[in-house]
Amino acid sequence: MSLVLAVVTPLLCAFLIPVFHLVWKTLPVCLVGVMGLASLAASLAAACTGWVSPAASLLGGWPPDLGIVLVADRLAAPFMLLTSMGVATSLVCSLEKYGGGPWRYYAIFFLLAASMNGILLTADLFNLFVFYEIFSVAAYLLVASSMSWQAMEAGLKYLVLGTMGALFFLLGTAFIFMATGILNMALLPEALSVVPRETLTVISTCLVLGLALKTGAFPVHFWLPDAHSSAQTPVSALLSGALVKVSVYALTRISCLFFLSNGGGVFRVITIMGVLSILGGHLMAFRQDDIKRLLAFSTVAQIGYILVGVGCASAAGIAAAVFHAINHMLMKMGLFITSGDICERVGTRSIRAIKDTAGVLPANVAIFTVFALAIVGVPPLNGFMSKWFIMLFSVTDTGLCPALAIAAGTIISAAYYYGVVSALVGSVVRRNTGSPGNNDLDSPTVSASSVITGTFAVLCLLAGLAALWPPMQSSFLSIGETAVDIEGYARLVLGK
Amino acid sequence: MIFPVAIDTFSLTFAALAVYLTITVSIYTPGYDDHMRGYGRFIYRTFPWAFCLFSCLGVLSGNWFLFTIFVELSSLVLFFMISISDTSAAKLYLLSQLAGASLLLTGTAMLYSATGSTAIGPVPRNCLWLFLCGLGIKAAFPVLHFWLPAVHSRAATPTSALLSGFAVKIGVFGTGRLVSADTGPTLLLLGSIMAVYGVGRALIQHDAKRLLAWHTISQLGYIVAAFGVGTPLGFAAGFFHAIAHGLFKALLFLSAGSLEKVCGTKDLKQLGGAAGTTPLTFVFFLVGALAISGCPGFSGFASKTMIKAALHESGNTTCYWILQAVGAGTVVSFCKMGYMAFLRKPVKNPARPPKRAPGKRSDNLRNLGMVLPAFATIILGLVPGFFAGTGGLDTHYLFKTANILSATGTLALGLGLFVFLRKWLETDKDPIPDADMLVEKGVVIFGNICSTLQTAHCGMLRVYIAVTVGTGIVLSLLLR
Repeated sequence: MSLVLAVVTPLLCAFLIPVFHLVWKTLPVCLVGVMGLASLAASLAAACTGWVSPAASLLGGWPPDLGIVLVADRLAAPFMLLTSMGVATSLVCSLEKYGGGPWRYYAIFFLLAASMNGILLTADLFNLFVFYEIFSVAAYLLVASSMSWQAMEAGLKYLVLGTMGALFFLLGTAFIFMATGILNMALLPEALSVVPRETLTVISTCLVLGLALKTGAFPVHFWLPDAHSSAQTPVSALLSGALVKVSVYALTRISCLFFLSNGGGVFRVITIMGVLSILGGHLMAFRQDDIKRLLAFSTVAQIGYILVGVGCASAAGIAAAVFHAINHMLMKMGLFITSGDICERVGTRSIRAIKDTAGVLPANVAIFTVFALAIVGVPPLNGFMSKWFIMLFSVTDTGLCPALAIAAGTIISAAYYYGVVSALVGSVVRRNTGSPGNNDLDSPTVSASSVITGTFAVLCLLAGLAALWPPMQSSFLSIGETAVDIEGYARLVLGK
Repeated sequence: MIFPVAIDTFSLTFAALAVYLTITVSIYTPGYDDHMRGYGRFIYRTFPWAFCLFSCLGVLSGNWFLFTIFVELSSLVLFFMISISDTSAAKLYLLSQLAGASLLLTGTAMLYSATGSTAIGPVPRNCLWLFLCGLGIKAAFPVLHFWLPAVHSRAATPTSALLSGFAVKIGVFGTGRLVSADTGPTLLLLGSIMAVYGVGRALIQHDAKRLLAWHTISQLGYIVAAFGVGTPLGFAAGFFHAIAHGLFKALLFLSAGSLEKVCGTKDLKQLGGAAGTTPLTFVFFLVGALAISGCPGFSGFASKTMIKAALHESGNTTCYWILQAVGAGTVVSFCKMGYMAFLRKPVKNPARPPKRAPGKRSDNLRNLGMVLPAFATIILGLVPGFFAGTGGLDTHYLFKTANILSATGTLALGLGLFVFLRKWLETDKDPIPDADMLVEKGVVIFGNICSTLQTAHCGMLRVYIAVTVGTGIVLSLLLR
């Protein structure tokens, strides 16, 4: 039952917020906070269920082959944890920034949270598409929610391209239904094995293209830099940290279930897209002057690392990819939140224009530096560990090329993150060694978001060290084993 | 075991060298950075120890993965030390070392997939090139040396001493771990090229520290060639020369730094007569110069004799004579440096007088710091038994008349050449393009590629949609 709550609780919040607003005309901050806590608790409960004792729950009492089944297993659980953490962080930042004012924003926000949980839990292909639609519409609206013309334009582009992705995904789903008459994801692996090869090609093309578009992989990433850089800070953080990971989950789940045993070069295609994303993302981020746009392109590259891990098509590779997804959530949310904070205080997003960091907490710059080091891949931090694992398993499973791309990407990313960090650190050092008189003009204040990012920075270090700890490695390996265990998934869903 | 270690004579001696050099540098530094305050001073005083820690952990670690991690961390520490004096050199250093570490990690991953283990030691043929490229950036193999001269000459002196004394030796250490039948000819060839090219470049330098940096490459060539011989004697000889070079090159860098501190410049054309003003610095320079030239009684003589013996024993006569010639070139180069900086009459109107007359105390501290490597250089030269023993030689062999004659012959030849070429060496040469040109050009081309890619984000939805549909078509072809 707890699985349904993970979807229903945020959905209920999303519907209650307008009601509250209609009746009392204001939206108290603590109410949104309580709602956030409730949906966080529901998501975490589902994640725990999935991790400790994988479970399925049937909706409406229909048998699993007819109705919709919600499933939480060891692949969904870490993604659930990741998204719920991302949603909670983003909500805290939003509440801190906007208070209870924009009720529409919060309604959409909870709708997004509900749909993310739905995507992670559902075992029905069409239901997945439905949740994807809610997810996408909510995301378009959130991107445009600041109502500036850049945000509107970015939201519109996201809408058009996202709809194309959804269209392809829907086409794939329709072809599957036409070919097999089944939409249950646990029954499909077997049913697809008798589908003619040509049909399977069309199906896999549609599904992979649709999901790759939503993920933001390289040749079809065009919506991502605009959307991530034009949205407000909490939304950018959520988009980069949690939203693209949900699509990564869907891609992993679907490609493992449908195409692992049914051949076809799906995993090879995912690897190619991953390599292209790594190189393309890093090259486009290089020479980028807008910090948020740079971070957005860096997200494209990091998605590439995850895709390379998924493309290994082995338990170890997928485990490494999930590890990198979690790490990227920590690092990129931290980077977006700290840089958003810094940019707002400095008054510019241009790296070259950062001259004076008056009012910026030096600790904020230090935290930003930690995240930058982690995402570049400096040894004890988590980014290094997950990239190393991806590199290790991709060499075993897919050859040397992805590993070399990862190596090249590390150097390019070091070059551009060096530019950002040296601009920030340089101005802080100049300020501290310069005239001390005007320091107290607008003194920096500690905020809840900087506490959260500080925690994330510590988590980055801990996750990096934990990756060397054998029990941690084996529990991560179990994620990958769950992902490639098609029979296990079928047993879980069908209750046999 | 979470931290596998590889403890043997090779790694322990390198760790000891790291500690010894760090002690040297931390005595020397207070005499060098007395004009600095704040962050810079803090970094100069504490970071060498962090470097020492990571380097020791690196050389002692028992698999390539940990080796790479610690080496990368030690490079990061040096990056901070370089960035105090020159940020662009620091960036070049950071990126080049990261490239080396990434290649090394890729090689490690490949090694693991081929053999199921990453234990430190020789690697199979198919991943050897990755290891050689990765370590080659650290150890300044030809073309991969693009970062070394710039970084060594632009870093502050204590940092250059650590760089040349130990940081590049970590690359050499890794190369030493790789030695197997497969590596032989490659390393011999690479070593000979490095030795010749380094000394040739050094001859046309007029920047004292850049000259020393090129000699580092040349001497690394000796070590790499010795490893390339592949016999136990060759390995021991390379090992000995690595340790000896770490000590005397640190000494040379520190004396060049002292010279710069006292005279206000490190440009040989503007220096002169420093032997009168700083006699002690001259003595230390002389010890280092005699050692690097292979004068009997100093460590360089013993180690170079071992290298030559190893080459002779295995019949690599070409390489043997190349290294002999390089030895003579080294003598010429150091005669030039000694003559121009210390012995000749002071140049009129030095460009920059020293900003502030250094205090007596700082002079003493610098000299005290330099005593340590000078002492070790002489001791290793007089009692080379330990290293000779690891190669299966006894001390008497090294001091055979033939060997002493060969070394003094090289010295005499070098001196003669110097007297003959003095005027030519003193004049300016046009800059000859080097590998760092490739980097500069490469960065420009790379930037253009990036700009081109960014123009794809034109903001026109029809382009985006066309690309999406095109990707779909390509995907369907790939998935066929």
